[in-house]
Amino acid sequence: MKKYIGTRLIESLAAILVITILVFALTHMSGSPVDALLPQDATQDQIDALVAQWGLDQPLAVQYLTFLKNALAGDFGDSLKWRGYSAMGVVLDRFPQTLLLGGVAVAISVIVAIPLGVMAAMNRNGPLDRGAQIFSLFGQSVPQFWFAILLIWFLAVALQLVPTSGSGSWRHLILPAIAMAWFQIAALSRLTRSAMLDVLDAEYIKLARVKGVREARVVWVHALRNAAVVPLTYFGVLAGSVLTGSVTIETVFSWPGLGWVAIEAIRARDFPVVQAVVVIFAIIYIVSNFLVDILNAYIDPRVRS
Amino acid sequence: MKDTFTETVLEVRGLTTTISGKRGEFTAVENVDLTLKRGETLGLVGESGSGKSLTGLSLLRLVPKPAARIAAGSVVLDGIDLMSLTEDQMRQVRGRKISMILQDPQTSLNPSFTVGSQIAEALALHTDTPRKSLRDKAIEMLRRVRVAAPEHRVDAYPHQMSGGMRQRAVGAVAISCAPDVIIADEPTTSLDVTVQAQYIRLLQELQRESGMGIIFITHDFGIVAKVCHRLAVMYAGQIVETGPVAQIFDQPLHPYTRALLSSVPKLHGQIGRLPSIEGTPPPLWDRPRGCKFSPRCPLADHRCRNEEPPTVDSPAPDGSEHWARCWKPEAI
Repeated sequence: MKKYIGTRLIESLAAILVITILVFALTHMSGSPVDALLPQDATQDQIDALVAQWGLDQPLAVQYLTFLKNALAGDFGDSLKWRGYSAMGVVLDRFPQTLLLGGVAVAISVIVAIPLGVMAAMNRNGPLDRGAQIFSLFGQSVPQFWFAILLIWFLAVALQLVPTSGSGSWRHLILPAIAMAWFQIAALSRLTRSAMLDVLDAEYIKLARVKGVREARVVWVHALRNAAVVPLTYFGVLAGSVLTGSVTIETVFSWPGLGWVAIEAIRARDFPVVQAVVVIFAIIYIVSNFLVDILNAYIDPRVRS
Repeated sequence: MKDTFTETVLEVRGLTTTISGKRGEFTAVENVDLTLKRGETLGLVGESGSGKSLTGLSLLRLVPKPAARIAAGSVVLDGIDLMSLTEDQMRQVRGRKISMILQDPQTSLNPSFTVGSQIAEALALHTDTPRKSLRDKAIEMLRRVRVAAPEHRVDAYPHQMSGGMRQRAVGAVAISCAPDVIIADEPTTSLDVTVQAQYIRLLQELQRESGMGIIFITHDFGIVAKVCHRLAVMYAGQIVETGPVAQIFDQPLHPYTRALLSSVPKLHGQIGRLPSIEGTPPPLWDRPRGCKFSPRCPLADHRCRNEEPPTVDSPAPDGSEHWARCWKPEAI
């Protein structure tokens, strides 16, 4: 198990390193920031000064190493759009909001989707299964922003149960969290269902019943433990999509999170902030997949060896 | 094979199990009668799809839901009619009084739990073994099924064990609560020949130690000759012949039994092509009228094809039961 975790850890670090290279390369391929920073009638001296200030006249390799050194210290330079703030400062300021929203959405989706998937499998082709299927079809085919607007119209405007947008209290969290969880529930519950159906046919499920194990335990312990690997692996992907998906949801609900920062920074070609956001996104993505791998190994002994 | 068994432990009468599917409801196990004495091994033999496994599962009331349904019959185990129990009462009988060894050791242990915990689970359910000694009990069970180094194997996961070892562990699960009856559903089919022989010897030893009755589902007459005391031959969901093994091998009554026996290769037999039975068994949803074997039977006539055959008795010299369901029982 230790060896397995060690290997995964090294892989994760390598992935983060590769991402810093990509981030560095992409921002340099998307045009010079000098054009965005200086007015069109800037003099050559002004341009030269700025280039020297940012180290843009250095060889790319040197620029990258400088970038990496600073990045390791959390320093991505100063934001170009939000004057007076460091890029990392802007990101860290908004990060907790995204983590809160994403965390709540993921929690809702797991709590709803896993039992829903299991029960759908137990009532295969029954009314509950059909209902869950229709629900999932909607969840996966309806665009998130449109569903979000429907939620606002119905729960916030018509019924006036919750605020339409903004942040500040747990009541503000409800709509964006539901909107975000909706898609995940759709995907996770279907995956859980099909994994359970596979597992329920297995001989070892029959053996558990032969032993006289209670049906509830057969389903929720003997079967789910083996079926869980599939939705769990997908969960690693989902955790990432929560962050990228947050761009839409945060915009619709004016939620002051990272997604919103990312959009604004890209528009302003604020490359220090974009770099910081992308690296943070990537790290979260890799960390969540790392955790999923470890959980997988914990659940399935075959993964360990 | 001269043992005489007196105390009946399992008595099955008129067991009928139906399956409903796209083709409507059809009978897959029809009117099955079986008697098993304590300490006895009864072979249940037939081709694939003849209803052997479904019969085994029916005895445990574990037919695949919702397609299959036990439609009629009584299964009396040690004086209790299992068909009259509630699901919860039945659950307490399973594993404790009647158990089953499944066919495929590759897949019949849960890959996510240690072998020890899977044995301990049955013990915890049905015995009042204190929690602390469950592990020791599991080790003891592994030792009883002759698993080497049981203190280590108890914490192993199924994927860390060989096929033969796993099937022993499955056996340990089955015998853990000292059941009266074990149904062994082709337990050696997927093992290689030497491991197969060891496993069969093990089952016999366990049976001698505990006096449990075994229903051995197989299609292998070699195994039947080695381990079974009595034999029930199944064809298309019915028992077509039953009796002591030696008697049936000597004087098979039913043409199907005769054909099955003659298709078994013999060490000292003639060299040449093995005889085989013409045709294939009928699908269960479309069984012929009259005798189910009549379309493949060389002796079949008009009556065989239209009227359900009677049960013909031909008791063995020692008086034990031997009958066949046939219009033209040959040995008489």
